[in-house]
Formats: sequence, structure tokens, C-alpha cells
Amino acid sequence: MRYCLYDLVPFEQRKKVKRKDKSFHLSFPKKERDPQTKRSDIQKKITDAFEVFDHECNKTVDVREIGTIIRSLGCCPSEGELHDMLAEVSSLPFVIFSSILKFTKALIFSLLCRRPEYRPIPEDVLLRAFEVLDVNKCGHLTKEELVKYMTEEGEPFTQEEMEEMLSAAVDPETNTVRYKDYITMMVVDEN
Amino acid sequence: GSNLTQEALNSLLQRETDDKPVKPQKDRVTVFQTLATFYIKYVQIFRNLETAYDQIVHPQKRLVIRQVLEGVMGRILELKNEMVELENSEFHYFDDILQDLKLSPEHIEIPIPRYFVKEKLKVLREREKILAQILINAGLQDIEPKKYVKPLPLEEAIRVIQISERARQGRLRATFMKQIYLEEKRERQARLQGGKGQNMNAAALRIQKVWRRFTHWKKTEKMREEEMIFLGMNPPPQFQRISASLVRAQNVEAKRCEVQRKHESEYQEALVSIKSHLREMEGLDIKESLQEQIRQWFIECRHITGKFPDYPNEEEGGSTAIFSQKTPDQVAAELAAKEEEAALKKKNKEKGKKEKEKKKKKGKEKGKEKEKEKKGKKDNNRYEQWNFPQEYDPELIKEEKRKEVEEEIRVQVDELMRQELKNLKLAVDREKDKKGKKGMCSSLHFPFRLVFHGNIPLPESCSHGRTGFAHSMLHLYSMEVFPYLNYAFYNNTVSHLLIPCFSPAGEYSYLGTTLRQVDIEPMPSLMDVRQLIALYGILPLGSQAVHEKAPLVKAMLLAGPTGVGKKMLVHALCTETGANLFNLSASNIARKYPGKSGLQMMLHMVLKVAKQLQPSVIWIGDAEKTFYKKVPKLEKEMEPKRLKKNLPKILKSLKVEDRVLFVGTTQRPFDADLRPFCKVYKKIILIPRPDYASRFVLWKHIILQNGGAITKSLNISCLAKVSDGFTQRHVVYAVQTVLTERRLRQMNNKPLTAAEFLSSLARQDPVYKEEEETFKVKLRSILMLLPHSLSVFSQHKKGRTGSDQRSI
Repeated sequence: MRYCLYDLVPFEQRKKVKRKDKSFHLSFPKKERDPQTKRSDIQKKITDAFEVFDHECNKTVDVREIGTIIRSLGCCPSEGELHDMLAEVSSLPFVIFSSILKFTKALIFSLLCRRPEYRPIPEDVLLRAFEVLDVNKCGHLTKEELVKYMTEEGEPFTQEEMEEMLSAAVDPETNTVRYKDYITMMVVDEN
Repeated sequence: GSNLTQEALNSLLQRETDDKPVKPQKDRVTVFQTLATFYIKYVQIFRNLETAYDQIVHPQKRLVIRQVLEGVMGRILELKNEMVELENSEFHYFDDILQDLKLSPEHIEIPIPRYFVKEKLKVLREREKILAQILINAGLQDIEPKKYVKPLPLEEAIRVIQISERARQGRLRATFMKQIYLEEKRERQARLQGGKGQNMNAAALRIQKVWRRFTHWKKTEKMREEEMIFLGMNPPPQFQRISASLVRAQNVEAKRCEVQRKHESEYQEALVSIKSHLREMEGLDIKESLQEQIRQWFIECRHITGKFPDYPNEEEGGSTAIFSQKTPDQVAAELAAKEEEAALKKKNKEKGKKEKEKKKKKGKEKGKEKEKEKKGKKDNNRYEQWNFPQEYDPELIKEEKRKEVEEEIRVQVDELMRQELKNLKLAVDREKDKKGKKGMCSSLHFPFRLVFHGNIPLPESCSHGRTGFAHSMLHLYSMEVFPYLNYAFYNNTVSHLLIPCFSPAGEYSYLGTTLRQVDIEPMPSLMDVRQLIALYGILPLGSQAVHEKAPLVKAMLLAGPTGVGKKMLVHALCTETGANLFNLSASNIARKYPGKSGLQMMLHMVLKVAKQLQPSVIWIGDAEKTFYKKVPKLEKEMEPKRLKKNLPKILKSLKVEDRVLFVGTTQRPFDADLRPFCKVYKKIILIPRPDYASRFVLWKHIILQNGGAITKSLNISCLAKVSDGFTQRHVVYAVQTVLTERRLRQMNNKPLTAAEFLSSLARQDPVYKEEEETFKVKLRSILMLLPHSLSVFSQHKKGRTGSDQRSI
């Protein structure tokens, strides 16, 4: 099997590019992976993510880490959704790989197939959200405001989560939250 | 600067007027060379004068410079015309001359005088307001409502933020965990491989190796960069940032403009106030002295001839006729000579006075003549040390005004003296009133004519009067004419000034003459096109004087493949001259004013408004449709050929004083019926696809315009090379799709690369080679009729046998 330089897809499987005109000297080979390789890629990703949290190397992870794992794969579930997910699986403190794997496969496929449920929130929506909070429309929030909102409404943050957020969001010079910069940090890099 | 320019102008004028070869020059090349050298020198003078006019604050000096400026502009256009006729082509290449004179191509770029728009700022703003009002009234103003975005409810907002924040924290934690995990993994593996144990030395060695490599690499990098900067291949740091001195210079210029304006307004006020002042103070004295003089003359005459003379009436100049010559007998005969002498006297009286005498001389030497006069009067030896703030000189004004006041009073005195004379005659000689040939009209019903000798040229904003009229005109015709006032009028906002608007970026073609010598016709570059538009469009439209004196261009055609910037050039033209744009494209006039009489009325109205609101540009998009050989079925309803018969008539009716220009744009000129087409559009300018140099400049410009930053990682040269065949429109589209807000925000971390633009560029269709070839072939066959544009496309020596012997 020949391999071309651009990618690791075998040459024969590369899609032929239609050339409009001989003098037109730009062509872009399309990288298309067939569904088989796609699925195996995703599976590998998931198993890798789980392995990181498998401290005892016995294919189990702690229940409380599930949220982190899922988030590390680029999904953005809410706490409620996570609870539902776990309730279905088991009530044991330890969760076995395989069972969770079956369950989350669907979840993660849906993410990678671009279903909107667990997709990361787009940037402009985030911006609008912050603007709603910013009553004075001054471009930044005060620390106290942010704390108030985050710990009282919606799914309230815990103390550690709040501290973590503050450490990342607050601009040390002005002691305010400049949300535009903060948003760039929050957004998933779509690479 | 102005002294040098003055000398240059002097020498050039001398050369032009002295060097008239008696026999016709046979060698076309030398003729062209001389013409081109003159042209280049004139352009340089033009540039200097333009900056001088822009920056000088003394209002009276500015007036003089303005006149010389207009003379120079007219002369440049005349020279260009000669060159065009000589070469049978619109495009000229001066590289060898430039080399000899050691100039760079920027030096012969035609500057667009800034005063065109500056002086009309007020008028333009008013016009904008009026137009906006009309559009709103007509309900056609589509204030696009900003997409109404429902504001997020509070809980939703918070939920969103919390989700993202948790996700972020999760990701962060996961990366930490991953690091720990990897470490442990490594340790495990190390243990499995029979622990090599902790070797301090080895560890230290490894770190040192890497560190040394790093420092040395950094040093060499730095050295390499310094060398590049030294060679001039890379810009030094902070090169792009606007230097402090530039900023200062701009501030100074702005301040100077303000001072200029202030002085100008003061000057205008002074003109009026000093005149009234003079009249009060010295009026009586002048009157009495005049009367005395005339009385004396009566008595002398009586002594000499025995009777009282006939009082010369108004047409003979009144009492001026009396005083130019001592002997009253020669009064009637030498009337003409008197005018001259009076003029001469004025000149001598006020040496170095700044007066303009409008001698409208027809013929080619119009421009030259004017310049000579101006040059003569510019010899100013006034001692100007006291005038540091460079305000207007009141003494000069006084002198001028004194004459005017004198004239006025003279007229009054004439009346009185006529009466007196009659009485005297009756009383002394009992002479009856004889009616001479010319008829001494009864002095009673002569109105007091205020004779303004118009010596002080009023600035162009004399269209104040016009604005008032136009205002009412616009309201009158608002309902009918506004469909033709193109909505692209919005481009005529004052904010788009000067070069940023005129952005068909282009580079000079450096190989022009060499190519021509080998008989390969070089493809004109965009900069040439820009110059042509400046010469034929902007200069005549911007200044009334130039329009009247330069060879007249009534209709211009811009032809070229789609997306290359034809419409943009039309808009740029309007903005640079502050002109109004009327849209008479076939699609726009399709169903309006049906019938022959309707059409006539519409055209009449459009022309009327256009002439009132000078300068104006009448744009005809898809100009070939007006002259369709055969109207395709789909368009039959539109009646595209409506204007075919009327256009030539309209063009004939345009006179020299009307600053109205017809501009047509087309991308398929070969669809038109050639003879009438070329008869209407005497000037055809072909706009080519951008060549490599133009594309380079274009990419850079557009990226910067859309907020991008050019770094080393962005290889513009590669972009320019690869985008061969794409027009400006494609490039702009590609850049705009790539440079979204989000991308701009990431630019600091992720600098732009060429590959990003390529994908959006490739999605569009370029102009393929075959298409361009067919275009050229068809066009060549057409342009047989029009000698000027033919040479662009001929690949071999075309028949230059036409006129080998030409006299300049």
C-alpha cells in the first residue's frame, strides 16, 4: 500500500480531485477518512482519556472523575446531565471501564458528529451571556458580581470551583473580570 | 520649495517657447522623448505647487499660486493629448527618461489636488443632508435594522457560563492529571527496565547539553537577523509603527489648515470692510478731485476748440477716456489704445501687484500664455519680515479697492458732470442737445451701474449661490430624478478622502519602454490606469478652469473583466472631485418614463440637474447594452437600447463650461455595435487584470485594511504568485471571509499564514486563460476603429505608417 506524503490514508483510497482547467494550478487533496478509521480514532481517544484517571491500572475509574474525563474530551455537559448519566450506569463508587465505555460512546459520537447537545458553547453566545450579566455595559465585571452570580444562580459553584475561576478570570491589575479575554480562554480550540 | 519651482517653471517655459523647431521632426522617437521630458518636468512642478498651495497660509499668495496651478494642469493635459495622438496609445512608458533624470516612478505620479474637495466641504455636506432627506421622504432609505437578537434571559446566561467554566476547569484538571500519569508511566517503565538508577551526572549532562544548544541557537538567530536588517532585507524593529515625527508633521499640517481657513475668512471679511471704509473716508475727496479735473478739462477744451466738448458716454469708458490722454481731440480715435494704456498704468503703479487679467485666448497656447503672465507678476520683492503670521496684506487690498471705489464714484461723477456740461452748454453757448451717432442717452435713466472689475477671483465655493438654487431644484425634481441618483452616493461622504478611497492599488511597470522597443506591447499596469483616470476624469472635473482649457473629454469607457474595479474607479472619481453620481444604466431606466417623450423629458431633467450641481458624473453601467447588435430575448423587456439615439445628441449639447462627464463601464464591449459605440465613447480605457506586482500590493493593502497584521510568517509574495488569474474582487472576498473577528482576536497568538487565505480564494472562479484570450481577440477586432487602444493588444509591429512625419 502506497502512502502519499500528505496524510496516512492509503493512496488508493484518496479521493480524486476534479480539475477544472489545466492551467488552474491549485488543487487541494481532500482528507477523507472512511468511517472505520474514524471510529477507531475516537475509541482510542476515549480509552486514553480514561487511562489517565485509572490510578490503579485496573480499568476502573472513580465515579467522581467521570465529569472531568468527559470534559477533557471536549464536551460540555451540565451537572444535571452528568448526574443522569451516572445514575444510569451504576451506584457503585467505582465504575468499570467497559460499562461506562459503552455508555459514553454514544455520547461522544454525538459530540463528534456535531450534534448540538454537548457541543461546546460558541463564542458569541458566551459573549452575549456575559453582556447580560454586565448591567452597566462597561466591558468588565467586578469580582463580587461574578461570585454572586456563580454561587447563587443556576448550578452553583463550590468554593474550590469559584476560587479556581477567580484565579483564572480576574485581571490582577484592575481586579475586575475582563470577560472578552476570559472568553478566549474558555473556548475550545477546534483543532 | 516655491523658489525652486518658480525657477523650474521659468526655465521650462523658456524652453517651450524658444525651442520651436521650424521643420517637422521626422523621428517619432525623439519627438516623443521631448514631449515626455516636458511632461515629466511639468508633473514635478505640479506636485510642488500642489503642496505649496495646500500649505501656504497667506490668502493673497494662495490666489496667485492657484492660477499658476491651473495653468500647469491645463498644460499637462495638453501634453498628454499630444503624446496620445503621437503614439496612438493611451499608455506611455517613461522608464528610460526616468533613469536619465534619476527619478523614481512616484515622482511622476499625478497628485490629486487636495483643494478640490477641501473647498467644497460645506457644499458637499449640505448635499448629503439633502439627499438623505429625499431618500427618507421617498421611503427608500433602507436603514437596515440590526439583526434583532433576543437578549438572553439571566438564568440561561448564567447556566451557559457555568457550563463553559466547568468544562474549562475539567480540561485543565485533565491536563494536569495527564502529566502526572505520564510521569508515573515513565517511572514504571524505568523500573521495569531494570532501573538504571539515578545518575546525577547523566541528568546534569543532559540538561547542560540542551541548554547550551538553546543559547547558541538564540545567538545565531540574533546575528542572522541583524545581518538581514543591515542588508536591508528585513525591516528594522518598530518599522511599521508611525514615528513620532510623522505624527508631529501631521499635527502641524492640520494646524496649518486651520490657520489657512481662518486667514481666508478674515481676508474675505476684510475685502468688504475695507471697501466700505475707504468709501467713507476717501469717497468725498475722490469725488471732488474728479469733478475738479473734469471741470478743468471742460474749460481747456473750450479754450482750444471754442466750444464745450461732448462728454464721452458710458460705452467709451466715461471719464477714463478723458484722462488717459492730454489732448481732448484724440479721445474718440484712440479709445482702444486707451484701455490698454489704462491697464498698463495700473501695472506700473502697483509693481508686483497680484492681479489676474483674464485673457481668454483660444488655441494651444492657452496654458502657456497664462503661465507667462502669472510668472511675470509673481516677481514679488515685497519685504515680508513684518508679516510673520502671514495674514492678508491690507495695503494690497486697499490699493485694489481704492480703484474700485474710484470707478464707482467716477460713474456717479460722470452723471453729475454730464448734467453740468449740458447746463453749461445751454448757459454759455446756447447749444442744443445734439444726439450723436451713438446717442447720448438721457442721463436721467442711467442706473448706477456698479462696475466690478472682477480682479479678485472669487474662490470656487461661489457655488453658494448655486446651492440655493440647487436646493430648490432638488426639491422640485426630487420625485423624478432621485431614482437616478445612485445610492452609491453614500460613498460621497467626506470621510473618504484622498488615497484611502482611491485604492486600486497598482505598481508601476518598470519595463515599459524596453518591451516596446522589442515590439512587445506591455500590459498596462493598474497604476497607469489610475493616472489616466486622474488625468481625464479628476483634473478636469475638479477645476473649472482646467475643464475649459484642456482638450475636452465628454465620455469615457472603462472596459475590463469582471471584478477588476471599474465601478470602484467611478466611485473613486466622484469622491475625489466631490461630484454627483447619476446612474443611467439600462437596468436602472428600464421601465421608467416609457415612450419617446418620456425618455426625452427624463434625459432633459437629468442633464439639467447635472449641470446645476456641477461637477457630475453620469454612469452608464453595462454600456454595451445600449448598443447591442442584437438584443437577447431575456432582455428584450428591459429595452436596453433606449438611449442609443439620444446619447450622441446629449453629448453634443454638452459645452465646455459644463463639468459633466459620461462614464461607461462594461465587461463585454464586443457585444456592442461598434461604430456608434466608438463614436460616443471617444476615450476607451482598458483595465487589465492585476499583474504580479499589483497583486502583491493588493494583498498587503487589503489585509491591512481588514485589520490583519503582516508578519514574517505571512508570505505575501507566495500569495501573489499563486493568485494569478484572480481579480481584486476575489481577493477582497477571500480576505474578508478569513479575517473574522474571532480570527483577528487570535492573531497575536496565531499569526496569519498564507495557507488560510488560499482555501477561501480557491473556492472562487478565476479568470481562465481561454476566457482572457477570447476577450482579447474579440476586442482586437473591435478596436480597429479606435486607434488609441489598439496597440495594447497587438503582438507584432502594427502599422505605424500612419503619420510618420509630424510637426509638434
